[in-house]
Amino acid sequence: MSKAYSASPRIQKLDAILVNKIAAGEVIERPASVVKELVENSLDAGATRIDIALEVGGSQLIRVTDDGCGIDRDNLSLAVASHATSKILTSDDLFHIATLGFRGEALASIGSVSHLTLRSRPAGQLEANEIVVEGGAVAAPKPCGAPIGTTIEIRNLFYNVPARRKFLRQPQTECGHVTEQLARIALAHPHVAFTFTHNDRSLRNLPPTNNRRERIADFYGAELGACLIELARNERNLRVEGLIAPPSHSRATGKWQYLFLNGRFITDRRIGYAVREAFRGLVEHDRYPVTFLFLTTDPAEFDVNVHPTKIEVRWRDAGLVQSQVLSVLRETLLAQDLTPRFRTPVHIRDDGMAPSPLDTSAQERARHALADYLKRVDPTQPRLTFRAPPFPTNRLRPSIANVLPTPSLTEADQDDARNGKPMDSLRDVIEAGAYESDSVALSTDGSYESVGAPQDVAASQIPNAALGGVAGALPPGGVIQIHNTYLVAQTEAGVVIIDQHALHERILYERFRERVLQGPLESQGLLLPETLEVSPAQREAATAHKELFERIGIELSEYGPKSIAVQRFPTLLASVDMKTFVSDLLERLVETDGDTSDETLIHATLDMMACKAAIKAGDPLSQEEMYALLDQRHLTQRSSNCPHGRPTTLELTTKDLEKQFKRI
Amino acid sequence: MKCICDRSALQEALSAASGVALARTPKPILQCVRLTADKDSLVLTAYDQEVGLRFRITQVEIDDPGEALVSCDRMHSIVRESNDETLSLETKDDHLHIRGKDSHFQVVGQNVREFPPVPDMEGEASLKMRVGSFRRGIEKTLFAAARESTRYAINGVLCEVNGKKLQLVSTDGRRLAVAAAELDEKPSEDFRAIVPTKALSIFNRLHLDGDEHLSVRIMPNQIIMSAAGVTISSVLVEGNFPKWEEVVPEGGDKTLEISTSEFLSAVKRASLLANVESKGIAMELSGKDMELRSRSAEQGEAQVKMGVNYSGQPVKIGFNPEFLIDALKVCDDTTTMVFKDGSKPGLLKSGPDFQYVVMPVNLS
Repeated sequence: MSKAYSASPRIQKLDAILVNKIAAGEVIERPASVVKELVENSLDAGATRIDIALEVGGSQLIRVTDDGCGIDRDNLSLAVASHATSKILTSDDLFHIATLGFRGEALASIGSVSHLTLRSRPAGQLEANEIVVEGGAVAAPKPCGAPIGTTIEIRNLFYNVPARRKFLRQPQTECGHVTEQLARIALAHPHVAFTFTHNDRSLRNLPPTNNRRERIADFYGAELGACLIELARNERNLRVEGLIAPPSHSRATGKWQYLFLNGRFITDRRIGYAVREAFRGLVEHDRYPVTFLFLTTDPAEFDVNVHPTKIEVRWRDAGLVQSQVLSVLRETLLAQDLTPRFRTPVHIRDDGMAPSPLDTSAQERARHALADYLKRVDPTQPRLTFRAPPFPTNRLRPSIANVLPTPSLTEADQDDARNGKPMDSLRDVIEAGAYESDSVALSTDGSYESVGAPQDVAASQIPNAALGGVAGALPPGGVIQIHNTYLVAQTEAGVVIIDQHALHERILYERFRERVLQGPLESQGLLLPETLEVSPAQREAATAHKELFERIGIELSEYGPKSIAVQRFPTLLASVDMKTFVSDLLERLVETDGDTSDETLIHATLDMMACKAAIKAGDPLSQEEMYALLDQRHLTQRSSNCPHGRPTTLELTTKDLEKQFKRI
Repeated sequence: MKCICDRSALQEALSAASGVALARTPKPILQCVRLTADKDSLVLTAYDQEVGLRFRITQVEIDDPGEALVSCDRMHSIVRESNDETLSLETKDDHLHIRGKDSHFQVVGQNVREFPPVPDMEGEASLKMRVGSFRRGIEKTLFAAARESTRYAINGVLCEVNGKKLQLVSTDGRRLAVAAAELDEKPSEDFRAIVPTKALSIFNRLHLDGDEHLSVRIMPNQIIMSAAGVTISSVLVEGNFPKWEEVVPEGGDKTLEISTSEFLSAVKRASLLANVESKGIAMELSGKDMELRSRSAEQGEAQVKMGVNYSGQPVKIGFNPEFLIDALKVCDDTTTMVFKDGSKPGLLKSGPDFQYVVMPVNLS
C-alpha cells in the first residue's frame, strides 16, 4: 500500500465536502496516540525502519524517525496544516482506503498542542529541511542536515492544554500504552524494523522478518511464539490468517486478542464474539484465549471512517465475516490434537525434537530443524510407568531389531514382570529419581505457564499419581496399534496414545546424539563407492563440511566434474539409501550455509538420520516391537531441543474419561 | 489327465515350484503350478516371468495324459500334509481331484492355456559341469550379492568362463566374493552373464545329487540350467558388473593362516556384545596373539583371544562381524587372511578358488 507513495507526493487541501464527511473527533489523547499517528505516517511513507524514542513517558519527548520517502521543502508547511494529506484525493478514495492515515489532521492536531519539529529529506535530495510548529504557529521551513527519511520530534506535549497534561499518568503507564500501540502496528508489519527506547533504555528491538510468528516471538517472547497454531483461509473475498495460542495459554484479560484488518489494528465486537464462541468449552469462562488474526479484504468491503482513531470498522456484511472467522477458528482447533477437545488436561508430551513431517521438502525440514535447535529449551516430561514386558526380544524382525536394541531384562525382572510386578531394577529407581525432579520442574515449565488456571494444578498431580502408583500398568493385552500408526496403551493414570514414528524418531535422535558426542560414528568402507550427481553448491558444501561428515561417518570424494562418491557410510544407517541420504543432507547444508554453527548442523543431520531410520507411520508392528519401543521411552526424557515439535504422546487420564462420560 | 504319483517326489517338485511361483501378484495365474502328464512322466511348471522351473517326475503311473493348472501354494500344502505313499491326480470339470487313502480334495483349476510358456532347454548346452561343483560355487558367492541395490548389475552373480572353470563373482558394494566351478571341458566360446540371485537360490535348494550332470545354456538375455529332469530358466541381469579384479587388493604384507572353525567361533563370540547398530568388532594382531573385541555402550565389552601363527607387523582393523561370519561359513578348513593396514580392504582366501574381499569398519 505504501508503494504508491514512494515518491514524494503532493499535499493538497481537501475540499470542504470531504472535510465534512470526515467525522470530527479527538485524535490526540495521550503520548500513545501521538506515536500511533506518527508511526502510521512513517509506514504510509514506505519506511522499512522506524525508531521510536520516548522520554519521561512521552511528556518530555516523543521522537519518531523513519527512512521513508520524506517530504520536500514545498510540502513541509502543508504537512502540518489541518486537513492536508497526500493519502487521498477525492471522496471516492475514502471508500477505498489503502493507507493507514487519510484524515490529514494528525500533524496539525499534534502541532497545536506541542512543540513539533519536522525534519525531512526525500530520497534523492541532498538537503533536508526542517519546520517547527509551536502551539499551532508554523515557522518557515529552513534547511538543515538529516539522513533520508523523516524525523518528527514532539516536545512538551499538551504544554498549552493543562487539563490534558494533568491527566497524563505515570511515565511507566504511558510507556505501557505506547508499547501496546506499537504492538498493534508492529505485529501487522513484520517486514518493517522497529526499535523502541524509553529514557535511552531499549524496550523493543524488532528486526524485520517476513514471518508473523517470528515477529510475535520477538515482541512477546519465544515461548508464546513457539506454541502458536497457524491458520489460514481464503473465502469469498476475505482472507483470514492467524496465529492462535492453544487453550492452555489463555490469559486473564482479553487484551491478547489482536485483530488486524488490511494491516490496521481494529476492534470488532462480532469477531470478538466469534473468538469466544470458537474457544467455548476450551478455556474457563473467565479466561481469554490469545489470538492474532489478520484479515485481508477489498477496502470496499468495509468502512473505516467510523471513528477518528479508525479502531472500528463498519462491514458491508458483518454476519458473513463473523461466521467465516468462527468456522476457520473452529476447524483449526478441532484439527489440533485432542487437548482442546477436553476441558480437563490432556497432556501433550512435547518431547522436544520436532520430527519433520516426511512429506515436506528437505529445505523445509532443514529450516525447522535449525530453527528448533536455535530456540532450544529443555521441556520436561512426566514419565509413564510401563510394566516390564515379559517377552523374548530376540525374535524381533531384523528390520526393527536393527534400530531397536534389545531391552536387557534380567531374569528376575522378567519373573517380576510375569507376576505383574513392575520392574524394580536399579534403573527404575534411578529413573524414578530423575522423574521426580521432572515433576518439580513441571511448574516452571513454560508450557504450563498460564499460572493460576485450574488445569495447571491437575497437570502436575497426574504424574505424581503415576509415580506413586504401583498396581495397574499394562493389561495383558498390552499395547494395541491402530491404523498402523498409533500405539494405545494403558498407564497408571489413564491411557496414552503414541505416534509411533514420532516416538521412534525421537528415541533414535537421542541415541544418535549421544553416540555422536562420544566420537565419530562407526562407518563401513565401500568396496564400490556409490556415486551421485551434485550441483556445484552441493559439491562445495561437501568440501566445506568435511568435518561434519567425518563425525557422522561419511566420507565423500570428488568423482568427476559433476559427481561425488560416497566412500564410507555409517553402519547405523545400514538400511538407509545412501544416495538419497547424502544428497538430501548436502541439500540441507546448502540451504543452511553461512549462518549456522557446525553444532547446529550436526543436530540437523541427526534429525534427518533419525527421521530416515525410524519406523514409519503405516508400518505394522508386532507386540514385541511395540513393547520394545515403549520400553525405550525413558530415553527421550533426558534432554531435548525444540519447543514446538509434534508431540509424541497424548495422554488421557481416567479423570478426563470420567468427565467426558459424565461420571463425575 | 489321470495319474498316480509318488507323494514325496511330488512334494519335492512342488517345494521347488513354490520358490518360483509368486506369493502375491496382480496376475493370479503366476501363483499357479502347471501339471502336464505325458506318456510316462508328470512335469510341473512354475514361472514368474523372469525365473521359470520345469520339474519332471518319473515316479508316476499315467492312466490318461493331460494338463491342469492350480494354485501352487494350495497344492503344495495338500501334498505336504498328506501322509499317503501315493496320491492320485485326476482332472474333471475344471477341478483337480487329489485323492489319498482317506482324503479327497477338489481343487479349482484355472485355464491351462492362460499360463505363459516357460523356456525349455533347446539346442546345445554352452557349458557342462557337475551339479555339486556349481552348487559349491553358488554357496560361496550368493550370500555376498546385493539384494535390492539401485545398481541392478550387482543384484546377481556374475558367471564368466575362465579357462576350464566357471568363475562366480558377487558383491554388495561392501564386500566381494569370488569362487569357481570346475567345467567338464573347456568351452569353445567365452561366456559372461549376470544371473539373478533368485534363480541360483532355487537351484541350490534342489535336492540333486552332486554327481549329476548339469548343462547350462547361456543366451544373450537368458540362462537355462538343466540337470536330472529339472530345468531352471532365468532372464539375465542387464548392466555392467563392476570391474571386480580391480577391487581385489594386492600387495598385502600381513598374512595369517588360521583354522576356519576356530576363527569362526572366535568372531561369533566376540561379536556377541557388538552394537546392534554399529556392528563392529576390532581385530588386533601382534606376535602370536590375535585379539577380537567388541564394545557397545548399552551392552558392554567382549574380548576373545586366540593364539595364531603370525609373523608380520602388528595390525589393527575393524570389521562387521556378519561379513566375516558369512564368509567363514563357506571356507574350507583353513583360511588365509591378508591385510595391508587398518583402512585397506582385507582379503580372505580358502581352497583353490575362493577369495573374499571385505572393507573394514572405522571403529572409533
